[in-house]
Amino acid sequence: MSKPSTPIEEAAFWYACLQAEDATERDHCRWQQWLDASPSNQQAWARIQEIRSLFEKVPGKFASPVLAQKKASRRAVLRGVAVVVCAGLAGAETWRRLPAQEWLADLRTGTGEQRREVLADGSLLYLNTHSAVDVAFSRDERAILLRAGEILIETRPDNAAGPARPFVVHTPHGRVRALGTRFVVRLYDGHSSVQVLQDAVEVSPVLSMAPAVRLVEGQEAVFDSRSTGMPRPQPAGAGAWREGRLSVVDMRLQDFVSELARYRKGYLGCAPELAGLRVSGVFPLDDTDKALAMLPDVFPVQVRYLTRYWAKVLPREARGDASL
Amino acid sequence: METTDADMLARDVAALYQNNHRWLSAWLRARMGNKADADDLTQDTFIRVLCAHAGTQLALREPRAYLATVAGRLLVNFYRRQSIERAYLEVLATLPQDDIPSLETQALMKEALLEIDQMLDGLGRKVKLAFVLAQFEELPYAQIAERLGVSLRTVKNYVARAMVHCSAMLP
Repeated sequence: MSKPSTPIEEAAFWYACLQAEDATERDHCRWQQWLDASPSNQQAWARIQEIRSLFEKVPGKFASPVLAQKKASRRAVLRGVAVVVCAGLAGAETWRRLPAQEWLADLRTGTGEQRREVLADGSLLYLNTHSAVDVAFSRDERAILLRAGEILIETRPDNAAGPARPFVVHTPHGRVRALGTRFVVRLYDGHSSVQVLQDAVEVSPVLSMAPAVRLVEGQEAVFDSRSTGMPRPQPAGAGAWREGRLSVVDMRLQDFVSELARYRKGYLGCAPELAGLRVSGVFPLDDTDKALAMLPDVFPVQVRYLTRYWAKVLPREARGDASL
Repeated sequence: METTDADMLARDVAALYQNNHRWLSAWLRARMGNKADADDLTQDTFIRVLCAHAGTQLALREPRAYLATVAGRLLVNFYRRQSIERAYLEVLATLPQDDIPSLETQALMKEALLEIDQMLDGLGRKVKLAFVLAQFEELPYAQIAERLGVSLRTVKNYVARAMVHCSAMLP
């Protein structure tokens, strides 16, 4: 190693030495001598300590996986719409004409429930709260029909003999074809949405003659029966519900409360004057009372319960007896 | 009343904004696919330009190229922040329910992480990895050396070099 020359370089060198598992008593003595030798050395060491105190704000178990991640590929997020050949109308046919005898299963979850299923080909299917699917594996296709709610799929290569069958999720609005992948499909009243967590999918609305729209990792899009919206970067925390967590960034409180309400029986509302507050963070889904209880920590709100099944987020009441 | 420098600057600013804010917003939107974020970054771009020229004359020879450069830099930053936030949320989401920190702690840790990430920016991949493993994972140098396929002495060197870098980046 070239000899460190400036005090800060020397301080950094000592820091690296003392951090080592084989640092000896002698190293410590020599460091002490160095430190005592001049005020500029002490200044430099103080600077190292300053940096360390910043590091100590974050426990290592959080910091390490976040900081060591590979640079997010900006291009992956920005990649535009690629054109894929695939007739859009095929989906509509499947949705309407799947013979009933092919439905091997009918899976449901109640409000606040989640469920994990291993499918016949080894693929994993996670149902979120209040969701329902039919599993319709046939000779030509491994199909999931989303009837309600939201699912996360982790596909495995087809294990059946013969040519590999495509893995497809059908909603009333169209079909989402997996291209070796992990993705989320959610059914809303008038449209469906898809978020790609890994690899890619192709989306074909039932009534669209346009080529299928390809979505890649990190993107999401909504589609109705006529068209697919512009692929967009998905919000952070997509698919976190599989871990039993709701993970949001800058979400309006109104939307946050509606999201949480999906996991609760009964009524959960939010006072209109609070609707625009922005919520960021990770919340437990398996105990929504606990999630709600985290809000007053940072917002001037209170959660009012009339019964177990009726709760509303309200502005915090000014306390008359508050003393200064 | 005489025309002050401040008046002139205000006029320059208004003109710059009027002439450019539309295309810049469209330009960012095409790249971000999201109007709200694009609008935010458009504002940030103008603020950045104004701050850089505070107290001087706002005479830009190539306003478009200049604005696009500034906006492009902000865009890269934006994605970087986002990827840190995303990774952080993923880590939080895997914690047992009772370990989920309060919202305030979550926010403070996020800010610290963004700050640390900024500080480590510009380090070589191996140097950064060695440093993160030593500092945050508290791995012994010997294990880091093995993992990176370098010598012990090199690991020590990497850690020292990263510290010097941090010191230079710390305001």
